[in-house]
Amino acid sequence: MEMELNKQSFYDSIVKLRSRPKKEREYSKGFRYLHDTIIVQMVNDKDFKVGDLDFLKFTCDDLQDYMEYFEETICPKLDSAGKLFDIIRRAEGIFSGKRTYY
Amino acid sequence: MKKLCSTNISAFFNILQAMKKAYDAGGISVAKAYAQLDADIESYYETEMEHLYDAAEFVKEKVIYMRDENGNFDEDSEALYSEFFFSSTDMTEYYRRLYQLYKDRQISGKEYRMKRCEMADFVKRWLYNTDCYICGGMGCYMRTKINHKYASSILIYLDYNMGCCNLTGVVIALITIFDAYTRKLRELKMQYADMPETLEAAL
Repeated sequence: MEMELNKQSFYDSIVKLRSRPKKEREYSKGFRYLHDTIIVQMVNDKDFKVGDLDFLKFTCDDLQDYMEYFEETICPKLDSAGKLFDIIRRAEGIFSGKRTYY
Repeated sequence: MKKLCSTNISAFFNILQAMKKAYDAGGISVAKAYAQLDADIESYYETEMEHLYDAAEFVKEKVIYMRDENGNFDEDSEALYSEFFFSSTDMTEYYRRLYQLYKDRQISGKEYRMKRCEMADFVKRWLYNTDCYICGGMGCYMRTKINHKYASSILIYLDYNMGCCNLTGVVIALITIFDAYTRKLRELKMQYADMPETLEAAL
């Protein structure tokens, strides 16, 4: 299996919102607020808690839209990165020098 | 980034969605109750039950055990279900004030029944739409008495054998319900300002 992830473009592909076709409406303020407060914070390894959210700054529709965007666009990328981290972690165990194979 | 990759964000978003719906329906305390919740849902589920004990001003739990042929049970007996009692002074006070207004003819019998039905429907709407209720693992009952501080209450029966799922939905529903009673009581007090302030003064 081949997997190639370029660090900077991978980071940008999560943090920067994918541009929408002209006939679709732009991302709402609430949508951007959720993205910046939750995902961008976590991608930058900052702690996130529900207390950081202002529930007046987004609507239920914004949240539903964002959940769909997350499932379609960000989740597959995170799954790939998660698999890569697993592979690296297992490889560390093999090549760390702690084990000896005869 | 590593934490984000290993966290079940989708499950977290589902809880956030339930919280937002509750917040928009007036359950403002939901945001405060879950302020410390982070996106690491797996560790949250280990402490999910604890939020149930904070869902109202007064909470009491009674576990019902299976009895042996002699009708006895002990702590090693199989737990059949838990009976939870949730109440607040605002809930009881709301029904007391409403009854007093009706008795004093400040509101008609029709309006009295309408306000009681409005709250009963609100309570049913929130509790009947929880996953626990839908999957058959939960029963609920409401009392609207006024003879002591916690006389009005909501009783929840959680059946362990039915596998109650998503207690978070129940907690969010309860917080929203009790916030609604606080809000409705405040509206009643503003509308009819010359009533005795406390339950004790009235009784």
